Amino acid sequence: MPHRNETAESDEARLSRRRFIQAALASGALGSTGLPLLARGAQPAAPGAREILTGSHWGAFYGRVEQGRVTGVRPWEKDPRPSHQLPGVIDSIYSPTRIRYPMVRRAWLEHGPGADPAGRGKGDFVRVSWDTALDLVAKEVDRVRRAHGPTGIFGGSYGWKSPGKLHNCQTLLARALTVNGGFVSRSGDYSTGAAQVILPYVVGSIDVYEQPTVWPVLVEHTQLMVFWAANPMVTNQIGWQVPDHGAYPGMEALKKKGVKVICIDPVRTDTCQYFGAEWIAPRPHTDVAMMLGIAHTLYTENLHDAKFLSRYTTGFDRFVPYLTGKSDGVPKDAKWASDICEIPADTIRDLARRFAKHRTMLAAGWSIQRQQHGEQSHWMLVTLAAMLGQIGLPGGGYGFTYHYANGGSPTATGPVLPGIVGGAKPPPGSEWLEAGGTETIPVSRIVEMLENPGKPYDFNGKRSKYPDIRLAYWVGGNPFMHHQDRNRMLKAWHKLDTFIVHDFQWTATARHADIVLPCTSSYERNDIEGIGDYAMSHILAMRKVVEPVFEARNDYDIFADICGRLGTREAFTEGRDEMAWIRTFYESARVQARGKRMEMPVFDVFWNSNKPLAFPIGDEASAYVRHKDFRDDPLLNALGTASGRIEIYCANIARMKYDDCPPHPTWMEPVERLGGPNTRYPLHVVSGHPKDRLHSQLCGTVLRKSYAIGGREPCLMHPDDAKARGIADGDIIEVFNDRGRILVGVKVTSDIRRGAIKICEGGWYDPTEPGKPGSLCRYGDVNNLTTGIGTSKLAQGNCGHTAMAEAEKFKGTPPEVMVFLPPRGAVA
Amino acid sequence: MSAAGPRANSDSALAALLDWAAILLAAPPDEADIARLQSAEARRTLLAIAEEWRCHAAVRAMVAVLAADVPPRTLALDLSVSYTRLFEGVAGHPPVSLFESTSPVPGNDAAPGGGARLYGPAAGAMDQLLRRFNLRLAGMSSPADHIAVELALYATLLRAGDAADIASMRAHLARWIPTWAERCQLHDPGGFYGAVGALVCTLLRAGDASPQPIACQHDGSHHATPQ
Repeated sequence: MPHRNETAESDEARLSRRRFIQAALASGALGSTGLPLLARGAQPAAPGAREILTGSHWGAFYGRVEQGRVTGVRPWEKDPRPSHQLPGVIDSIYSPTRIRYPMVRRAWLEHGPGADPAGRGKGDFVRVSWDTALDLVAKEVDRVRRAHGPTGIFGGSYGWKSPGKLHNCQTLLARALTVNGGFVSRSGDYSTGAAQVILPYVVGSIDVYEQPTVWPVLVEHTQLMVFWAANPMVTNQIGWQVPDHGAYPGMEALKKKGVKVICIDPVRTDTCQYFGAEWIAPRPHTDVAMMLGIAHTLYTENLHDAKFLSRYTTGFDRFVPYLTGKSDGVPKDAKWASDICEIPADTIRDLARRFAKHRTMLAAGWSIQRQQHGEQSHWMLVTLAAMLGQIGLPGGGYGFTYHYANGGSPTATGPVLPGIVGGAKPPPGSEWLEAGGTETIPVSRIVEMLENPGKPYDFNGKRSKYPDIRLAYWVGGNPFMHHQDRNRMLKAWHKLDTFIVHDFQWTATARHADIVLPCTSSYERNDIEGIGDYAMSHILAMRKVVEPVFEARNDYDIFADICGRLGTREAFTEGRDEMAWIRTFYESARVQARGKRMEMPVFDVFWNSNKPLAFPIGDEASAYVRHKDFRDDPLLNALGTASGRIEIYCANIARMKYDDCPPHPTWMEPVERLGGPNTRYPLHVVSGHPKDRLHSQLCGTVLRKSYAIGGREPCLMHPDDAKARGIADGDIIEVFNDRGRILVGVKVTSDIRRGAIKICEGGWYDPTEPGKPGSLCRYGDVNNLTTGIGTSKLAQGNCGHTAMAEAEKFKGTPPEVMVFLPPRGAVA
Repeated sequence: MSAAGPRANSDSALAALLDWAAILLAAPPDEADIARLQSAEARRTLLAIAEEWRCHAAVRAMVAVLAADVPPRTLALDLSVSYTRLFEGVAGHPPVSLFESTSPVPGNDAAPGGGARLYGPAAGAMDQLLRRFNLRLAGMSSPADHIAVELALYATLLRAGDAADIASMRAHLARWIPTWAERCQLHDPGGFYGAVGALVCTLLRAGDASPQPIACQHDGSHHATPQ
């Protein structure tokens, strides 16, 4: 069929025109003078199908590679319970939202640092070459350092990055900024911000990341297992390193033995359902009151272990007047507690009696300390355990890591694998670079820091001033997911001159950056890691599965090139490349192993074996009881507290005189809670961890199909709450408060208590008007609703579970979710 | 291959034009590219292209964009932002995929979670095609099913002149390019890349003698794409 008017022109005229076009194109008339896209000489065919062993936050696995591409994953055969999330890693490598090239926000590129900060998040990015991008980054780091000193740069990048001892991007960032003059860092984390500050005063160690009494001991000795705001069946899927999943056989054995399990949680969790456990659902945010009610019963019925309290603790005598009401006229009895937590007083008393009667393990999660006054929750739980007198006994006491990274999995007798460190020294002759020093802020105070430069704040007994930050540099994290009060955060971010991000995917954080550098995922590089955060049962060669996609580069190489531009490459790299570092770490472990009379194979044999290197688990490790040494001899094995004992009253905290952190466990009304006296909105937003992703990681993958409702993040709602609002199962609703608005899909279920709704953290932020504070989030990022205040002046942890809201059925056609939107017409 | 007659000459010119389109789609133009595109010579060339392949609407749109009263650097940044928004997925999945693997093709569920991923089977098929013709990617870090690579391969085959190879590659492109072009026009109406989409579709149809010719939108053709 002719496409042109064949009769209107002569062949000669057409021939002449074609020759003109061809000649013009050949001469570059249309600017097409770039290099040709194809060259002669074929690439050799990729090797045949093979499987390469590597690791992830979800476990060790074999990546099946065909024609140079990952086509499947198979869990490591010794993983006792592989995570169903594992297939999501393929999606993450080949996500359509993969960052392919270095990008710079247009306004920043045209007008420099500080240009149009309100324009962040709108997607006005310009692709640049790696050389240009690295030049811009190096110049900006240098500019800010010279103009504002090291305290003008925030490098306390926080997030879940990916496992690996070398490509720990947050450490690499710290290392790069250290060798170039220092930076403002952060202390603590979002998981345990309150508990990890107060527990050293109470039990002498951070405790929230330490090995609890191991599962085999629980199976043998525990009579009553209490999961208090802990959901280990869900959260043990992941590990900070590569998880061993050793908690699952432990839980299975506990269940098989028929140990009685109680779950105290506003939600009937997967753990509760797995064990067929007794479900007690207090109002969220009232756990301290409920614990006090139990403690009061123990005390008044003389069920507490006075001998234990006398020998192993201090300050119980100063706590009792508060407990009985002698000091404030309010006895913290079961009736008082019941009015607050809405658990019947008889149930509270019964719990006290059952706890005392049986060998009881109080296994607490961390959500109860991610609340205003969250320090009190873990302090009170330790106090309760101390009153029961079972701390240091097999199967009794308390544990704070049964839900995390498979805590309680016995520790193998292997070496500790070292990793790269952030504190590299400046190069000789440039010692002046250290002059500025480094400051630290509590990690979740970043927004307050940006809002209040130069103003004082309290933290853990010190009064400091917030630094004046001009440049924030983020790698391996997604603060536009994990930080609270999104809209306040958006405004605070305007303060920055420059925001630099490395990531492999267009996260909300990357979208709000000025300079975005595409980095590799951990499956596109070599690394080494241990299996089992607590078990440390194997050393795993995390071998590169595929070549980096698009123009992605390793963070290590990116920082090395930035340092190269600043004259500090050697200080950063110490002359080592990727494999040289990995070999160094392995050799260090090998030396340690020799000290333990174990001979590890030479590196090349290990590296090429495609098998993890196993270490034995000794009898002692399988019988480990937390605080047994202390119980056996409290003088010789004194705790790290001021008194050497468990401190129920803490003089050091008393000296701080904080109005929001008294010197013994105390119930204090938060700014808002379900049933609270001054609370405006009626529904408590429970923002626990998701079952099908790791925080926000893997939200943009195939896994979402299994849980999204109406394409939105799910929201669990009790039938009575739904009925009162005319909401039905599957409806799309708007959840809102004074801080923000989100859309979610409703699941009506009696697996959540009345007055509470559950929306998991980690949903991708999808504003209808990017960059505009107050914009409706179409997908359901719960941190639009949560409060950004600190837990107290002591710990300044985040309050991700302090949030009240209202919900209503969305009227009209809900806006399309854009953050995952497929091309129009793509869905068959 | 010699340019012995109108057809051979047409194929050579078409190949050169496809190469140009490929480079336009491989990366956004820089300031120097824009300055050349705004020259009188470029305008004459574009008008000749419009006349030769009857793609007046597309070329008019392109010329209108290039005639904007802004410095070349500003226009280059404008186009770069358009390119990123359309093709890079900054605000989620890109409205238009540059890759066959993630483009809506019959039988290919390109919905997120539907099995379509970057570096999918189409990339493997293109790797094999490149090997078959003793070619490899140069100066581009991308899977081989990038539209620019596929257009460049088609241009190469046109120059080589093997009718069967040309027809096969054209059929390959015809599976997804018309929809791709339609999406460019949908998401960048009146814009530079909407025009590039229309132009590419028209070029693909050039010389197509199949009973059911490739349908393109808004290119002056009477083969309108059904709505």
